[in-house]
Amino acid sequence: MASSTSGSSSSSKVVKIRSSDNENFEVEEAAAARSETIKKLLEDVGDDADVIPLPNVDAKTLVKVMEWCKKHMDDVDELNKEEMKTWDAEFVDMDQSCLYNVLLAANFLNIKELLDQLTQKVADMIKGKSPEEIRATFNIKNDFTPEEEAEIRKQNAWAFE
Amino acid sequence: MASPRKRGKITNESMENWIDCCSGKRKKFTSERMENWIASRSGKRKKITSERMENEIATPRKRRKIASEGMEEDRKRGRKEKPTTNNTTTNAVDVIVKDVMDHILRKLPLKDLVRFKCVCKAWNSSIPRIAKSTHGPRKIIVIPGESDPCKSIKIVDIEAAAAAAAFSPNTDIDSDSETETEEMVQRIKLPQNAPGKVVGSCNGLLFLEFERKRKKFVLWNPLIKEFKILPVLQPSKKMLDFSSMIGFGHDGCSDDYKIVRIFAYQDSSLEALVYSLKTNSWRYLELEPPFSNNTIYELLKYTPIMATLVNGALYWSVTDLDVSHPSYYGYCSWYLNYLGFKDEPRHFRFQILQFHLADEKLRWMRAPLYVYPDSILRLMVFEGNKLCAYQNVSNFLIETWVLKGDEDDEETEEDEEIEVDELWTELMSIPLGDGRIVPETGIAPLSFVRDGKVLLCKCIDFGITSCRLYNGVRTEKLKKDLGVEGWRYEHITYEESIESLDRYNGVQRDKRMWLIYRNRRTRRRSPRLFGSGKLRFHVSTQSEFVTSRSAVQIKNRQWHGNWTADSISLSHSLTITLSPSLSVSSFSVLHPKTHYRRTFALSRSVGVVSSLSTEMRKKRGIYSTNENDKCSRVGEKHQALLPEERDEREWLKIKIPHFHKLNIDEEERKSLSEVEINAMLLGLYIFGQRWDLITKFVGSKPKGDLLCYFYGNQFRGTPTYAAWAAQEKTKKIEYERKKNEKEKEDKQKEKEKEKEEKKEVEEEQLFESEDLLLHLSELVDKNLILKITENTNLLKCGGMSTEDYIFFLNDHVGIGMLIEAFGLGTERSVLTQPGKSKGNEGKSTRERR
Repeated sequence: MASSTSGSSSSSKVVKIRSSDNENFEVEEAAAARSETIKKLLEDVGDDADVIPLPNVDAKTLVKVMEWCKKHMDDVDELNKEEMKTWDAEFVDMDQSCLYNVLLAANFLNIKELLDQLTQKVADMIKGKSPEEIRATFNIKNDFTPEEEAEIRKQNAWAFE
Repeated sequence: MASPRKRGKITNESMENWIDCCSGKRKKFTSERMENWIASRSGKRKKITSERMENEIATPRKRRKIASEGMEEDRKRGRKEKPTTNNTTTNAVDVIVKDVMDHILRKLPLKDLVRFKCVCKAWNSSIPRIAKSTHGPRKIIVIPGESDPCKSIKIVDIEAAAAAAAFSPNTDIDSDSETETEEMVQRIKLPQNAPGKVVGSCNGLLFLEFERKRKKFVLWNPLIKEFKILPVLQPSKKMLDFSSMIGFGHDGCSDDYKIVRIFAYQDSSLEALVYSLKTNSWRYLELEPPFSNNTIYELLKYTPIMATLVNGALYWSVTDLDVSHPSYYGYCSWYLNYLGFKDEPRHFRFQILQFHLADEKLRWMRAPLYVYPDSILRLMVFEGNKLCAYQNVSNFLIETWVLKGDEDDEETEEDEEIEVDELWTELMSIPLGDGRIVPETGIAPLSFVRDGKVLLCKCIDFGITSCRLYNGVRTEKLKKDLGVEGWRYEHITYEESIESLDRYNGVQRDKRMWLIYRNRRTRRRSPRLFGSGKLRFHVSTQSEFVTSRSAVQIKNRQWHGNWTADSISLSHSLTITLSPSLSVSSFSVLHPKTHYRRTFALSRSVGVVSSLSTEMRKKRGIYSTNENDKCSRVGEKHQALLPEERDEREWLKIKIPHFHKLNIDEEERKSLSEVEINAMLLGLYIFGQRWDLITKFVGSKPKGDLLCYFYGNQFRGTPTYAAWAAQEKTKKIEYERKKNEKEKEDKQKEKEKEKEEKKEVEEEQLFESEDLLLHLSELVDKNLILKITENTNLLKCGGMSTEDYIFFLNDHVGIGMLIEAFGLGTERSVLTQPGKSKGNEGKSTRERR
């Protein structure tokens, strides 16, 4: 119910959020509500809540996320679709550390669409790579014995061609 | 709605907890948790204090907490070491929560996904699940037209191709689009080097039909490059009347893949052949004709053979000329019309046949109500789970209908009175002719794509010449080729999957054998795989044999194709049929999974052919693939028995007993107990290498095992063997010498007799020795000794054969005591020992003289 009232006057309402490094932001509620987490929170505590602390997201990441949220605040019509596509493509084109931070933030804030875009981006990045490269990229330790690994490779030989 | 009083007091701490809780549970909000949460929202919202929050979230998910802590730490570090991005990245990724990682993995192509199984253990365990739940994009397959023997197919990612062709040329990055095209359109060779057709597709498996000399069916997963040649069950002669209807699909009830071939006969009876992948066999199935009249034969005669698979049921659109209609001129003219030779008015009758893979019943349903009677009704799949019927109306438009949900089907079967209108809904009618009113010929739908769009293609002589997109309002030309142009208009929907053909028949896979053989003449083993030197058999789990001749025939030129292992049955024994002109000295069977390998020597009798040493094997080109193969293998389990007389014109059948036990209880059966070993040794001393007698003497093991042990390295290395061998040698020398002597003495004496006599002499030598009686008397009671002495005397004067005497001893004294009495391997041994061998030799020579 809270959300519905806020929805009607979305353009004016502003939500204050605070990043993990104690920087405060003011975001339009409609934009912030792209995040399921914030939306639920707002519903929970009422519409004129104090600053919402986001202990898991730092300022830099939060700026990025909110940038996306603002852009996606309103539903896109057919004409802007193409434009939005290119904007999104540019948006996800960031350096890796940033990408992962935003990805985690999107996961944590539960912004489904953004999460989709980012995971797609990461998937595209690792597509076609070898397992060794994947380990290097994600800093994953190879916990197989050489025999075990060889066995798995043998079983799925078709995927290594 | 009352606003919470304490909302101003949302502390950082409580927030953190709350968020922890929310984000942690987001995906898996259990109902319980939800209730708590709702309760906290509605009733007690005023009291969202930090304590309350903490209570509520008494058990936050540990992983999440750790993860978030990790993230925090990481971020701190990240800020500190900003320039070294690489370092921070990897660390940040370390804690990418599993959900997110799964999310990413889910977006990978299956091939990449499976390759990443060997990244780490966690991925290895989670990836199969992800791979199962994600399916590759829907693709269509077209058959090539330009090269007449259709030996390859094209897999087109139709969504992507359509999207690229419709929107692309912004000319952003040209090279990129090219690589994309490669990804979108793959050309793959069929698994058999023969022209083939795709006649079914389900779950990433393709059902292929190859036609060379005769039909061959193959199931194939092109992604994982696995294929299986299906056993052939020839339909009865009656069935060969016309090409059958055929369909392939997955039966969700029994989780089995089935292939159905339906045959209709002139007497309007129906029969089906159903293949199940689980059992890997065909079976006959009587079908109830779905129509009461006897037109089914005529109806089915010209039905397209390929079925459309929707939701576990196969559909054929059956089209026939309406006989009652005045424009019926007999089937000849209709057929000509069908082929487009004449432009007579045609009136068709439509039925849709449905075969449910689960209950295996053939039913029929009515065609859409407003079908035009003058053109053929065809079927395709709409949105992956709906049956769509379409019809090209006088080349002006294509009408499409969609069959309503599954439940409706069921009802219709029971109650045919249901209005046809309720069965089908009109989907769309696609105007042809590119906006003009002029009719355009040869337009056919290729596939439905996203957003209600339809890909159409123009075909000339079944070849696709161009494609266009119908977007719901009008048709647009594509800016780019789809990649199917120039190929045949024969398509099927396909979805990548890692479905393995071995999923159902793990047992079968175990029993899939390779035969490796050597030819006695050339002594060469062809190193080539499948179809040449190494033969692979598919053997069913039932006792019936299943193998196709073509899979076994040898294509290697050296062999001129005359070696054919025609049948193999694996119920209890392996039977191989060899062609008359073949001379094979040995062959081996390789277990593909365990690499367990067994070499069979083909010989006249078991036990005669000496085993090959490892070096010899290598020399002759037999390589052992595992350690177990080290010891030589002779015996009935390793050797096939060739009949004494072989008719050169006849096919030779070789039976190998206990074949199914090959590697199961091999080890335990092979190992002999100490008593058995000693008994065998004793037997060897007494009878020589007369294995039948030895087996009888030992009693508890089959001949094969004894032979196995005898020829095995384990025995060969022991001093006991050396002793025995030395004695054998002496005997041989002695025998030769004696033979010479006897030849000198009496040249007319028959050799056979001589041999027997000689043997007796030698055996008597063993038992005349009073030591044996002496030893025995220490072990058994006096009554028995008397009896033995009696028999011994009998033996001495020739009233009893040596063998009888030995078995008498064996029966009465027992093998254990007998062994002790003979004192094998001890100082007091009655028998020859290495140290004494010279003395014995001297003694025996002296005795004989």
